[in-house]
Amino acid sequence: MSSEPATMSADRTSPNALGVLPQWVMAFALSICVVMIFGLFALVFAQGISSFWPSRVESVTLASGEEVLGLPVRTKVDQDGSRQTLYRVGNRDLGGAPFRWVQESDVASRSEPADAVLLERQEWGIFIGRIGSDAGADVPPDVESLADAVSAGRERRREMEQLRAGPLANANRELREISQAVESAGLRLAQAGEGGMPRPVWLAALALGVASASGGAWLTARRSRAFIVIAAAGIVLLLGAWLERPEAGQGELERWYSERVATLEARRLDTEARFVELNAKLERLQALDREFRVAVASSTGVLAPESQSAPDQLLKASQIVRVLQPNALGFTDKASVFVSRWKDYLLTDPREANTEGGIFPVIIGTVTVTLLLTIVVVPLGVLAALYIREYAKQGALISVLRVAINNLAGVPSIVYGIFGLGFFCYAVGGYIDGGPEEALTLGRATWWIVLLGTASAIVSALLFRSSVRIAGVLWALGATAVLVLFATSPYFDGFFRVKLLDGEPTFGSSGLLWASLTLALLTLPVVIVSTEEAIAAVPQSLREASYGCGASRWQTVSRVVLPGAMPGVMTGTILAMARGAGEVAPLMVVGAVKLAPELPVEPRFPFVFADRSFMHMGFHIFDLGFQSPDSEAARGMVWTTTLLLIVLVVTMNLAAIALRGRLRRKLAGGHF
Amino acid sequence: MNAVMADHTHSALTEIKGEHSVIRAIDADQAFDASVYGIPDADDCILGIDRFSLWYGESRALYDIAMNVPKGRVTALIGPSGCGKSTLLRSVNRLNDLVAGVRTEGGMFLNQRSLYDPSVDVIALRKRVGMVFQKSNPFPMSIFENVVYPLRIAGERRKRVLKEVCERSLKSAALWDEVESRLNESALGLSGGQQQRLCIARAIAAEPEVLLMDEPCSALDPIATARIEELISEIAGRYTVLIVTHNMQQASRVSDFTAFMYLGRLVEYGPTADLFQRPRLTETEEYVTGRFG
Repeated sequence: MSSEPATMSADRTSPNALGVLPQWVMAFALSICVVMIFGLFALVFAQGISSFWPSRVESVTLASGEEVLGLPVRTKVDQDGSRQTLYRVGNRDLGGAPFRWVQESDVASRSEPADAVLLERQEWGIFIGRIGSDAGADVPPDVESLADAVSAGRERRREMEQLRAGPLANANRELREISQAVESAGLRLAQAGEGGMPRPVWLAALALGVASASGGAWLTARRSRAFIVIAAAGIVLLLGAWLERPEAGQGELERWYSERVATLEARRLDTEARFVELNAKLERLQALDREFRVAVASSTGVLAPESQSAPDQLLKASQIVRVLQPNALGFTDKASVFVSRWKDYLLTDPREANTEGGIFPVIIGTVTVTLLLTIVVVPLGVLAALYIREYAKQGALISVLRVAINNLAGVPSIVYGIFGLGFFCYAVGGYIDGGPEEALTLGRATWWIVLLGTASAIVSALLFRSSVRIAGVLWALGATAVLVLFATSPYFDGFFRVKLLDGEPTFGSSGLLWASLTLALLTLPVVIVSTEEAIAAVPQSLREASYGCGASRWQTVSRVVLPGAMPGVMTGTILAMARGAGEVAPLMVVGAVKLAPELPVEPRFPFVFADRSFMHMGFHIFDLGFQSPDSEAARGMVWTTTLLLIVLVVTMNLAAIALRGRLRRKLAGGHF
Repeated sequence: MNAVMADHTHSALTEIKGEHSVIRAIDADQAFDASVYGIPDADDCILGIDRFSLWYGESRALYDIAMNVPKGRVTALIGPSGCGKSTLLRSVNRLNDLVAGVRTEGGMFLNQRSLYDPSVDVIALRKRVGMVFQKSNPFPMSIFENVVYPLRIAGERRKRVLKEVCERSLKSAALWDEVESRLNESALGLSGGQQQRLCIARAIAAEPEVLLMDEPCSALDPIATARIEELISEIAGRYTVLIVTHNMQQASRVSDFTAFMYLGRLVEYGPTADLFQRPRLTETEEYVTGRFG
């Protein structure tokens, strides 16, 4: 009896009550999630890693006697049961398609010839064939000599590229700048005589302005209220004196113009001479380079040409990036090819419409835009969150604001992109380039009236201490009026007007700066929300302790609250960075391009070229996969780039988690 | 909160025989005079509280509190939960200003200078009044930085001064021997009792005129409590201490004067020995002997 269970089987809790079925369903749901997540990672990882591993070249002899040399890609079975294999045969410059389907029924025999050679070339994709011999070839027909010639050719190519991208490009740029400077001087001459006060009036205004401003400063020291009015008047007068400074006389200006043009022309002559010299040097190098030609024959015996348009010239050794005999390679040789392909991939520029070569500028572009967005978004978001949590009166307005910020996080990113294009690129950028639009520019008299109104609004706001509401309205009015003054100024006609007149916008089109600002706007809610949560999590008792010690609000915020919220700030920052790095849609409209002619960062002043367009990893994947002329050839690049992007974002997220954990441990307990 | 408390204690008290003039006055919403005796002259008091009342929004927490706190002595505030002891304490350094919707009437005077005058610089005031909280709240910084925090925010940068103050305060707080070798380690690694003594060291680092203690031992074990009590007795001569406590024994052990508060009113205030052994009012007697509260 004692071994009998306490409850009879009829009394047992029913499976329904225990929730056996729901538990199974939950476990099933979790398994599906796990399979999807890890399946995706595994697929990307496997494909991304393997695409640079050298695969074997097959030689297929067809029933017709024709030989096909190629890299097997995949096999498919048709509805009628016949098998076909896709081969990557390359040799695009010989006129054929780079990929070819081979019917299994046509195959007579298959082999993996050890003498098959695969060339990775600067242009026209890969070439598969065998080493041939020809009277026009300068390199002996064996694979060692070929490899030596290729590495010597690489040095020559590097030398030529450095010359072209360095001194030659600089000289070219200088010439362009000189022309623009000449044009700009001409523009100034043409505008001469417009405005400017008569000299005596100007001097009087200047003296009065200096007197008022210094009088205001003196009164400030004596804590008198009148100082604000007087100082404001002084500032307005000084501004007027600067804006309406008397122009130099026509004759003086013409003298200045001819001197300036003479200097510029002298510089132009120097630069042109330098340019010609450099060009000659480049041509000498090119002539030398033409003396190293190699003979590699396709399976049909056609020799690899220099280009499709010059079929009778043999391929130059410097046109070859890498030469290998895939079937003759051992494991270690393959591994070294694999490593060198990865190195090229990470460190060189893309070739052949991005389907070959490296993604160095893409990495640089992605990193630059991500760093810039972080520099913008973190201070902005943290300060805003601090104000919302620590300073603002918690009420209906703040609740509405909080809802709005949370909703901002849900706005589709393309909307931000279009906003960025319309506001940053066209409105702000257009203003920087060419000043206010013609239709918006006010006449001088009207503008000065608005300026005086603005100054008095700001002065009243400063003086109006009795009513916060009225002072607030005046501040808002003053701030709006300042924006209006900028937007309608008759005195500003842009920093890059000459380039704009040449039809070449500087900041008035998409570029690095506007892309960063757009992404900053996009990621702002992430930073604000996570900072706010972190601030709210700082215990009230610490604030009380700080206030109890006699700390002001600012001291409490800066010494206790913000350090305590640091883990949250870090998390927000890195989440924002990861989001920004992985974004594609808004970048397509505000600055990412398929191929940027220049890097957005250069080792010369100002180091970051905020107006340039740039390349970006997310956009690069889209471009490779869907926009490239030969998407089959770009397949490997899509996988590797995807892998790289995922690694980048996952690394950032892991860093966020690690950093947050470390800071939390530091804040929550001792070091033991 | 107050209303609930009142109902509860009221029904408990009506069963007890006695005069209960205060309870009846409160019930009838009448003013009454607190029983105050044996307190030194106003000249010997550092803190004067003059008919001080406080409202949290609509609900009134303090009713016309009038008492003087003797200089250089320990004064305990006792009373059942919700009687306004902590509110009164937090009014002295105006920490209640941080709570939205607080309104006060009447005045407080520290060394004859008003604390609630509109011209008072609250931040400067708080530097003259140190405070120790119920739950120890060291900052997540090193022990050293915790102690010198009041000096740091006052702009003190001289390393020598900071070190001196740190050592003196920690010695006063009887913590120096335990932490001397690890001043640069996180304060959060200390035990609960050590953390509370660290908070006391921080509160006295800037040499305040008054030290406010809000149930400083309620979260500590008996041994740590005994150490803090010893510490209070030691520093008593140098600082004026105003301490809120729930522990009758503690009040009788550490304080020179005791004020009994009930439902936001001051009921009885006198020398500790008298108040505990010969209370003037039935309510006080019932509270200190543990028959209610």
